[in-house]
Amino acid sequence: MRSSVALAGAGSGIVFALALVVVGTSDTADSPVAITVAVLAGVSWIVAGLIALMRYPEYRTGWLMIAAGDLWAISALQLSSVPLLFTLGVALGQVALGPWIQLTMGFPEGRLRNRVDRALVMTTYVALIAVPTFEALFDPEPLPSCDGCPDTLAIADRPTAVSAVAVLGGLLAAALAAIYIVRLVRRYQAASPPLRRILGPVYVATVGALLAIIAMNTASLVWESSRQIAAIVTVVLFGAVPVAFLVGLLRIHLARGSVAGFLGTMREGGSLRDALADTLGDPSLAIVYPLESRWVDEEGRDAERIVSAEDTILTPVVADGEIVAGLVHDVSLAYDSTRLEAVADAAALALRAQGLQAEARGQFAFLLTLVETAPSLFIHVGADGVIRNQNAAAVEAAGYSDEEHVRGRHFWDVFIDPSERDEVIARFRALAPTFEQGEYENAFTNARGEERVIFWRSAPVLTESGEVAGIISGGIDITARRHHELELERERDVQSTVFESMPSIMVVLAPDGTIRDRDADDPSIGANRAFREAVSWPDEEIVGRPFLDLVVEDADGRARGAIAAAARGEASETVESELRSADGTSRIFAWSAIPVADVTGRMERLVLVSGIDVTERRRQELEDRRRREFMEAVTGTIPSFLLVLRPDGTVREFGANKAFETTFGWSDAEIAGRRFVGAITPASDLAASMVIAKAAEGVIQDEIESRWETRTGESRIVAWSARPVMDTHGEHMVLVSGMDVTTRRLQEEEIRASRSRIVAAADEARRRLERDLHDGAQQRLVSLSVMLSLAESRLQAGSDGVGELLTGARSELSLALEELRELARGIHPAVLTDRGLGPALQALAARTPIPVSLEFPDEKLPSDVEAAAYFVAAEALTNVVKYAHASEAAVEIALNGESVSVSVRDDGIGGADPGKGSGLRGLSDRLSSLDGRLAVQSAPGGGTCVRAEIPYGQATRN
Amino acid sequence: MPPTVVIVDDHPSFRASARAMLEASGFEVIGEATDGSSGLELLRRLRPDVVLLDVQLPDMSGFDVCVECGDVDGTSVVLVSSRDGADFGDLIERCGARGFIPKADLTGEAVAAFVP
Repeated sequence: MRSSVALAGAGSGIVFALALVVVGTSDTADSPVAITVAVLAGVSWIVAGLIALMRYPEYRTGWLMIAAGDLWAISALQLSSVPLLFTLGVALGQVALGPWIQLTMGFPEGRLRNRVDRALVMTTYVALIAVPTFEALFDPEPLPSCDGCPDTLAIADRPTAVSAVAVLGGLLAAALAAIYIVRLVRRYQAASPPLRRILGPVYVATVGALLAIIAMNTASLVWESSRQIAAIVTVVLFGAVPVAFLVGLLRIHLARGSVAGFLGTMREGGSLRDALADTLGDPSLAIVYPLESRWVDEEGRDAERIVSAEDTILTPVVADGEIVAGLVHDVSLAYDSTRLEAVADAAALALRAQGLQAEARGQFAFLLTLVETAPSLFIHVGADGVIRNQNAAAVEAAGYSDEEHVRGRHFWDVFIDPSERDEVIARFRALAPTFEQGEYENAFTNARGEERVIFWRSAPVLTESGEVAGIISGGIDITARRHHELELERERDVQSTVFESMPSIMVVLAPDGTIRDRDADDPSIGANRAFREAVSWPDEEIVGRPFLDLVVEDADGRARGAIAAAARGEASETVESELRSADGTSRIFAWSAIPVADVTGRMERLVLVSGIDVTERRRQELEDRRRREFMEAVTGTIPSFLLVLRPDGTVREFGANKAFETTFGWSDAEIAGRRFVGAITPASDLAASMVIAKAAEGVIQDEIESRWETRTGESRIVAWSARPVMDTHGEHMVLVSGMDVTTRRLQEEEIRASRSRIVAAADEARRRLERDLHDGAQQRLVSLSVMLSLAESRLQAGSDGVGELLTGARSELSLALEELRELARGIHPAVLTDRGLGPALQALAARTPIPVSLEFPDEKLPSDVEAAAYFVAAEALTNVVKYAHASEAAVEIALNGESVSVSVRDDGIGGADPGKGSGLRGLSDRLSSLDGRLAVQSAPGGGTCVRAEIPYGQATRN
Repeated sequence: MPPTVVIVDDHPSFRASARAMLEASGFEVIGEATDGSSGLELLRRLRPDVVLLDVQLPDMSGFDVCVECGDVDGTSVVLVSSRDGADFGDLIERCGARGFIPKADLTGEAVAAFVP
């Protein structure tokens, strides 16, 4: 360092010497005063710079000052007569301002702090060189007031350009100056008092000088005469500035005491912090100590707030390579780091000791907080049983609000009930002298009269030599827990009563599905009374048995699945199972399984099966279902029609049975909702309406016959009735039930018609008989009677001719007899009764005018069959004779298994209509009464065949 | 002169025996008809004193004939039948006939009783 100072000094000396030479040889030199002032100004800068360099070698301040001085010297070249030197002098005439500005902005280290400052300073240098250089190059006579000055080595003479540039330069200078002033003012305002003391002189001097210089230069532009004065004042001010710098620098120094002074203060006693603060001149100094990863103060308290205060720097103090403390000081102290370090080193050992203390204090504070804020009780008891210390929780548990009532008393007086005191004292004494670790629980009534239960754990505190210094007991207030346990106990009792007595069945199973044993701790688990009674198993037989054993059949595994679900921890679905009882019967239960906790804690989870007895309900349902199915089967298969109508006469949904749907062609959906009267019976059927209405009112109706129409419009005759019923939902309905009697009616009609025809035929036959008798035999007999009475009268009168009358009477009589015989044969031929069908047919054939061939069986047939066969043949032959115009006929009687066939054929003209002619109709009737049939084949021109089939069974053969 | 008679009956044997009986009793049989319409025609033409009229005629009953011939004055209608008179009730009176004789009881005196 000394060498650089010497070098700088020497260099500056040379520069000044050269400058003096120039001045000496100058023609244009001004007054000696001016020259002297100028030289002194330059020297001032150099000297100040050298001092700063010596004093603060680490700062650039010194070098900058020297630079300013040297550059100032160069401006003396303006006095030279040599054009080159003159030009140089003009060009570099103002450059000395550069270092001055740089110094100010970077005071006190001489380093520019930020980009803005650097940019400004750079701009300033450029302007300070560029503008004069331009002037020098384009104005041969830049100093108009200098008569003897040589011309510069100007390139050209551009006065206007030069003026313009000069004006611009002036404006730029003004602007820069303004910026600088503003920044400096701001910086000053933001500085702390100590810092202001340092910066103050420099800033004031610089700003003042600048302002003054600017003002004067501006004025001199206007008033030529003031130029000289302005120039001199400028120089003077320029020369005074370094003094301000020195003052500032010295203030850094002056503010500090010395290390020796510091040590002296230390030795006298007093706080380390005060000594440091005094020595360093920073009353706000604070000391912090490292504790783990943070800073604490000497009490061990957290010092984050101190450390991060504004405008402070923390300088760590290092001893033996370890940070033992930190000094939190004003920013300004950092400029005198050497001194700071020296002082800190001196204080290091003491700081370390204080640091250890702070550490200990900090840890202690932490533990204290822990103990105080823990909810557990802490008491520190001496070997004599006296409470030395306790935490707030212990005080509270003892029933006091003030620790005075606790500290200093024997713990058995505070935490133990009088009744147990002696025992506890004895036990305590027995634990001496080692007071080994132990735990115990005791209940007592505290000072407030509250019952407390504390669980204590105690351990001895040993000195370095192993003796018991005291006993630390930590206690947990388990009063609440005890109460809770009692409550649980009570609750359990209630629960088990409920469990036992409820009507639902309850069984507790282990997770593996076996029925739990009655627990000694909890005798109610296992199975409740309802279950035991329902299945009537004695305890011995169900405990430990798998529940599924009791289930009669679990084909789809639902019972198993339900238990497994609960064993997993999920509530199961409701399942129905049949459980077998001890007596061999079984009952059906609807049950579900849910997971429950084991209050004894021995098992992780239990399964609770709970359910209700649904046996009766199921049986009822089964019965109902069977009944319903039966009814459905019945209604589905019976041939009768069943309709359920609503009271308003419309068909209910699902209100028609199969027979109705099939016969009438309505599907259930189509007929539902339609009116019975109107859709089924004609709307005009008042009788039907009445029946329905009366049944809807609740009166059972008698049977009536009505016409019911099918969907396609056909009529059927139905014998039906209606009655009120209640359907399965309990609503009033009308049940219509009917039988299709259409066929029966038709058959009845037919039978009636047939019968009436038979009766008519019989009547007709009788009438014919009467007429035949009347017309025939009777007439003859009447005539006979007249003839005989005539003969009688003639005989009386003696007349003759009686013989003729009598002869005539006899012939009349024969004829009458013949006619009577004929008649009798027509009614029922005697030959048929006496001799059978064959001979009767023969007699019939004999009487027939045309030839008739016969074929008949030998067997004797039932008399009604023979009569039917005979009359068929007789009627047919009569028709043949009357209508057929046939030449011959054939009668064939044949036996075909179960029936007799009678065929009468002729070869006549045919065309017989069996419908016309009452003879064949009467035959038909007679045959139908025997279940026989008559068929007539009579193609026109093809002959006629009348064929009758008369069935006769084995039973009727005789 | 003997009373004139017309016999209306469809049985020839009866007509013959009735004729013999009536002629033996002094009547003169001037005509015979076998049915009601020809009988009526005969009546109107011949105007006998007596008509022996059978109730059972092929085309109409004797009663109808009697009613029809109510316009023929002077003719006494006597109804005859092989059936009993009780069978006919008051038809005999109402048709305008004089009387009824069962055929089996036919004598000349019986007829004459009805002739005024």
